[in-house]
Amino acid sequence: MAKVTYKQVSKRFEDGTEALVDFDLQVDDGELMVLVGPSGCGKSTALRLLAGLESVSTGELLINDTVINELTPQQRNIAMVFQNYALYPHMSVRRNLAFPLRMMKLPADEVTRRISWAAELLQLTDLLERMPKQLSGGQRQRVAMGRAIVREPQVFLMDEPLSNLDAELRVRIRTEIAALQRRLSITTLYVTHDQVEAMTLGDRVAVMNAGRLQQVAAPQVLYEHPDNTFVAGFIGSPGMNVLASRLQRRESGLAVEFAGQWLDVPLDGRVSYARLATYVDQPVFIGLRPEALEFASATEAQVELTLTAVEALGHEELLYFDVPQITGSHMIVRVQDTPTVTIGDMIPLWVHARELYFFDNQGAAIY
Amino acid sequence: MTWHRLLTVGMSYAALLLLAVLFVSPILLMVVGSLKPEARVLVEAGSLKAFLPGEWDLRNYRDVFARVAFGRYLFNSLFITGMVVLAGVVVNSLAGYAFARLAWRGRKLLFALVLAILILPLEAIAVPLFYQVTLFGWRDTYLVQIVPFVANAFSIYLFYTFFLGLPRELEEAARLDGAGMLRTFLIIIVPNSKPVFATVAILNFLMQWGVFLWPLMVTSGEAVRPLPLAIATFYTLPPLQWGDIFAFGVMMVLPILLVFLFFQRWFIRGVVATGLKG
Repeated sequence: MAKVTYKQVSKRFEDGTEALVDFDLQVDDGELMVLVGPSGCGKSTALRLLAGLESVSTGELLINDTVINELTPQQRNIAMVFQNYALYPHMSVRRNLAFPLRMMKLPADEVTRRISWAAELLQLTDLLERMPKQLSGGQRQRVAMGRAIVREPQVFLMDEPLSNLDAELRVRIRTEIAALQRRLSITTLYVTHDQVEAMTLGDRVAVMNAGRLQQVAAPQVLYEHPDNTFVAGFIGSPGMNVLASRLQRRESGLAVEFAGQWLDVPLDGRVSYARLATYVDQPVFIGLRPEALEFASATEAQVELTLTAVEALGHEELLYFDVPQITGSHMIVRVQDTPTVTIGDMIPLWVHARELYFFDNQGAAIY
Repeated sequence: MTWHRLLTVGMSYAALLLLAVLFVSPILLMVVGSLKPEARVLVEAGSLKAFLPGEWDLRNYRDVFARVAFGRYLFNSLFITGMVVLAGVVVNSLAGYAFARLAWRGRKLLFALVLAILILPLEAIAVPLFYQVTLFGWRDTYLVQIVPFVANAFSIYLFYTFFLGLPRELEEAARLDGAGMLRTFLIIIVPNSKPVFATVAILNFLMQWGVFLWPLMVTSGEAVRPLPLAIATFYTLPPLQWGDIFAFGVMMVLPILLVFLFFQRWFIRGVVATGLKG
């Protein structure tokens, strides 16, 4: 039973890098929390602080209601799976699994019992006498998991445990990890840079950027209600299209600028009309999921954009467009059935205005 | 292969062969000379016959043992070198690990000092060191030939670079698994660092085996005299017999060869792993 709390935790390294700033997060008992963000966002630091591999600069780390800042890694009773697995190269699988148990000074029969339990759970029984270099990537990954679970730790940490595997194996082991975590119901913090992995694995997902927590919520909530432009652009594949824009009040109501055109803001959109009205004549950002646009006939089209690239994925296609007025910005549209298009064409498009997201000029969402 | 290329390859092989002959011939001369009766050694020295053994004769070897306490010198050299190597890998590997992985105040400064010591030859500190050991009353002992050479800047540097290259996660995993610093070093680091241990051991053995100046300064009796000093005094011992000196030389070189052959596999891996050019 363990609840993990980060209370205003900051980490500043000796060279002055602020890896983590005022980080607040609570992970409930048995929960699988995924930390996700681009590289250098502080997610691994958050994990290493909890493991005790780095020391906290300010703030408090708690397991249940005990402050653990000053405890050694061993006293914290936390197990970790490393990106490169960190199996001891000179020990057989059996001895790798036994190592943490021997450090705990468990009696020999208990060591044997736990090893066979973990080996069975992770299908390692036939591999126990092998050396790490004789194992495939997926097998090494399972041994690393095994070495972590034999200790029956309070908290389980995983630092990009799948990124050294090929794509197919990654998907399979991802589901295995999710199943194992549910079965053992050990509180787990899982770090990844891959938002698909985060969305599929996490009970909740904490999105991080530049050392700061951006939003923590269930995957669907992150997708439906991003708190800011960073989360909007990061979650989803591809992420939301975010563009600079303006709001105007017209006779017909509120209108928003998009690619040089003015679109009416519908009354029943995602955003409170009244709140939006307070942003009239101010710069805002608008967000559109790639599904929120579609091909239209020339007569009903609201905008026409220049097609710059096409990515065919088989079941769907991603179309890249230039957006006039905003240099360097582009827009991705996802379509299922494509009429023949040529790169460089002006394509007439229909915008589902009810799917528009709005953000203030600081990037915070307006709902 | 074009003619031009054939010519280039041929010429480089010829040059290599010439160099090989140049380096091997003195050793061959020594080995062959040690097996000849004394009367033939000098007579044939001026011709190519110097490299032809004729009949085998081990009398020179028996002579060496009869004329001096060779066994004693061999033991001395083996003991001193062995102790320097053994204590050296322990002390220097721990130092290298501390410099590579532990965070402590003054680490950078001290490491810079260690690197600075790298360029100091023994000759530069021999005299002050001599005064110091005299003060300790260590002259004419094994101790005086061992202790000053245990800590070695070059060995520390080799260990340091090797440990830097080990994945840090191994140690972090061990820490999380509950192993302390020393245990992590002994159980996780050392078994994965065989190449660098072999490299340091061989290099130290080679360096220490041939040390001449220092024992000349600090020993006077035969009891703790090592081989290099012994062969020098043997040379001055009348009658001057080249066959005996050659035999002495051969027996002095053999242990190095054995050590090298034994550790060769690891040594080469170590040279690769430490990025040390041969």
